[in-house]
Amino acid sequence: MNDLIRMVASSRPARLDENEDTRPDPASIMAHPQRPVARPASRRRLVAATALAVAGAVIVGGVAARTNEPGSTPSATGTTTGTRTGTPAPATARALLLAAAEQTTQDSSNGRYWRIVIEQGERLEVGPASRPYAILRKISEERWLPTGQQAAAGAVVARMLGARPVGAADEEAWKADGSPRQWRQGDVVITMAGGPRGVKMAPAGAVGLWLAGAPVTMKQLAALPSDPAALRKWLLARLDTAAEGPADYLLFVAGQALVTELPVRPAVRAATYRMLADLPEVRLFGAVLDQHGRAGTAVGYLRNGSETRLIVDGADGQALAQESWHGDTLLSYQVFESTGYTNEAPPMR
Amino acid sequence: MTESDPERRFTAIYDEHRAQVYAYAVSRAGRQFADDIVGDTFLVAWRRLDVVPPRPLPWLLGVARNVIRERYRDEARQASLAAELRAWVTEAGDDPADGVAERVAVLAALGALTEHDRELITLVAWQGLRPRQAAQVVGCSVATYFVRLHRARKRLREALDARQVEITLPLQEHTR
Repeated sequence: MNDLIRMVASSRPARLDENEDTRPDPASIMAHPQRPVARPASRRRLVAATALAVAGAVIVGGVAARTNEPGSTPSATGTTTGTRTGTPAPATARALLLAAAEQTTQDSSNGRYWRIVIEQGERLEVGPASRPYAILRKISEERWLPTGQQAAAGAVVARMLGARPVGAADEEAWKADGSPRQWRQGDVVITMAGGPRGVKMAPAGAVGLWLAGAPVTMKQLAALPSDPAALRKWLLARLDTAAEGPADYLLFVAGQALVTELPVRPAVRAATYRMLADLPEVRLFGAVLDQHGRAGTAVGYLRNGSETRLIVDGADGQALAQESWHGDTLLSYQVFESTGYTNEAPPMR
Repeated sequence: MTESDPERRFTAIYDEHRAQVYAYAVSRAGRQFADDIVGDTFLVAWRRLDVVPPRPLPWLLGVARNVIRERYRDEARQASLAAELRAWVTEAGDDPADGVAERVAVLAALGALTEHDRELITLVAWQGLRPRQAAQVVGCSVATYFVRLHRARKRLREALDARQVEITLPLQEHTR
């Protein structure tokens, strides 16, 4: 050990030590069956990550400066509503998902790039311990994935859209905190104003596709089965080694990724909707507006008080958004602004 | 009362290593999630007791690492971790013992590193792992591990030299 490591060793925080009095008895763990006959009952945790593997690059690009005018700062989150829209409402989650499958038939599968534009929002707790408050941070992200055999690079274009206190009470606490225009979260600086656009070129295989607990390649996605049962089997085999948790929940999360952000054939998306339709725990949440005000219908999977929701436009089977809620609190969202193939070239800068 | 061999073995592993897995979980995800991560990790160990190696710590930390990656929504974990890193600095600052300034500086500099760099350094400094074991936890070769650790140490040194302590000072103001 050199001096630097020794210095770190002697700075070890006491917070790493557990309070031994509250240590659970190992018998509570050994009460579970040793062999994975049934997957263990739900354990307390938030929604599993359909992690955007590119997020690190995104954040780095956005920290740099605040150049745009504060007037463009997005307002606090809208809430979903129960308003009805023109399309007849499905009676069950299953009906919605099967209808979405029926509608998912064609899109142009030709183009040099698969391009997806996403707005992400996330709620962060900031401020003094005595009066913390929540802010909503928004990030815009564009992903370009080359489709062909050519050795073209992919690209990720990111732009920080700024952050705002979430509600009136948060606004008050923010003012009491001295109305800061930036917040620090560890090594990340979050600014109230947005940031400049950042482009990160990525090798074709490295734009961060993720499915069912592990990275996935374009080639694997292209070979996915378009039969719902076969797709389910493929995902379960993968989840068995890559993830732990109730199978239905993991399938729901994987299904969300397939219908929202992964470049798969329409037939595979349709199969995904059909697979989701057969998951017993998926509930119909009802007619909602996504965070961009687009009308759709939400289905949700509730786990320990947190619900992950998928918002679908029943009329054309298009997945609009996914959201993560804890009770009445929106924790995060992704709005899928546009998805599809293009012959345009990604921006270089 | 008779205890089967698997139960005896598991209990021994649990008693010996729970504190270390807990410390790792705190350093990666904050106290908020540590209990759950440790619980999930040992549940995997129990279910797969037949593949737990005789010296289980690197294996356990590798499982904990996967649990963190697979199950904890990244943004929730980042928020918890950020709070954790702030607490390291503020709580070190409250300690009247000697060397407080250095501890504050070191912890603040650690907080300014990327998660990856911080993990490499703390696996050695706080978990006491040997290079081969640390490489096993993060899933790379020993050679690659040395290169990464070298770079991480360099960046820690730079962070210390640049007195990036100020990165966390505004937050201390917040806590009044």
